Amino acid sequence: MTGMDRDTELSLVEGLRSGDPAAFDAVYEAYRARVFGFLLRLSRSRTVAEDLLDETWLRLVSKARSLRADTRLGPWLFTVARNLCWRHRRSCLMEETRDPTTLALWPSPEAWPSPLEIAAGDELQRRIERALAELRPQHREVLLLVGVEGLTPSEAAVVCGLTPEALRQRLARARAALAEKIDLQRGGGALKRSYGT
Amino acid sequence: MRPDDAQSDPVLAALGQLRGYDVDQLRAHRIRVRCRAAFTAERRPADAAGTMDGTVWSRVVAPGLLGAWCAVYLVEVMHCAAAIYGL
Repeated sequence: MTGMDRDTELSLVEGLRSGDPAAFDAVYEAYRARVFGFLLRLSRSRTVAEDLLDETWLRLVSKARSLRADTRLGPWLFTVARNLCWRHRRSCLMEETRDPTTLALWPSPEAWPSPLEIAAGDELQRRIERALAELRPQHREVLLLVGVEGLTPSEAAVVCGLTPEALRQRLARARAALAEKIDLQRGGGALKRSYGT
Repeated sequence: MRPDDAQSDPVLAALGQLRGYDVDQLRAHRIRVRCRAAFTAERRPADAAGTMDGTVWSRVVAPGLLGAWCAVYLVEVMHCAAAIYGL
């Protein structure tokens, strides 16, 4: 899922540390869509996701020189993106408490379905996307990191600032909540048939 | 849930099959240009740090060499003076 072997990743980290623009380009190409997809599904808003994507990459630029030589780029970028998303959410919630009219800033369930659902052609994928969007953000983020982005539970634990055990528990709860939402009792067989698992 | 379960679990496997998303090309290009400019700007202080060698040369090595040359010159002057006076 990461699509990048460790040696390549290490050489790109070294390039970033030494200020090589080609290394930045390579990292940008490798991770832009993944980080954007993560932000889009987590924030449920294309506008917010685009803004946070911009900020995520600027954060990488500002921290490039201080990266550790053994940095895992995927988890590092997802950590930044995730923290920015939560910070954005908190600021929106604070605004909400001051002025109810700003409630619309943070996409509510009513804002869904929109871009993602329209784009998702497959019925099963649409159901999964809808179920994901209805989950609590804490559940959604662990499912996105492990299920969609292919991070190991240990890596996802680092991204979320949890212990591996806490993450495993949260992942199990999130998975159960998702299964419930997509009606796994009836659709579980469909899932297995559709994906050959 | 163990790490292996992430691969064998049908729900997580289904998540892995979801389509990917990307920003539109124009936006992606704008972000790249902006970040590249910032990345290059970040590099300048480091480049300046690279010229510290020049600073070290002008502040440490050059005065040292000049001092050594002066010392040698002084010794040679004293040697010549001693020769003149037959010491």
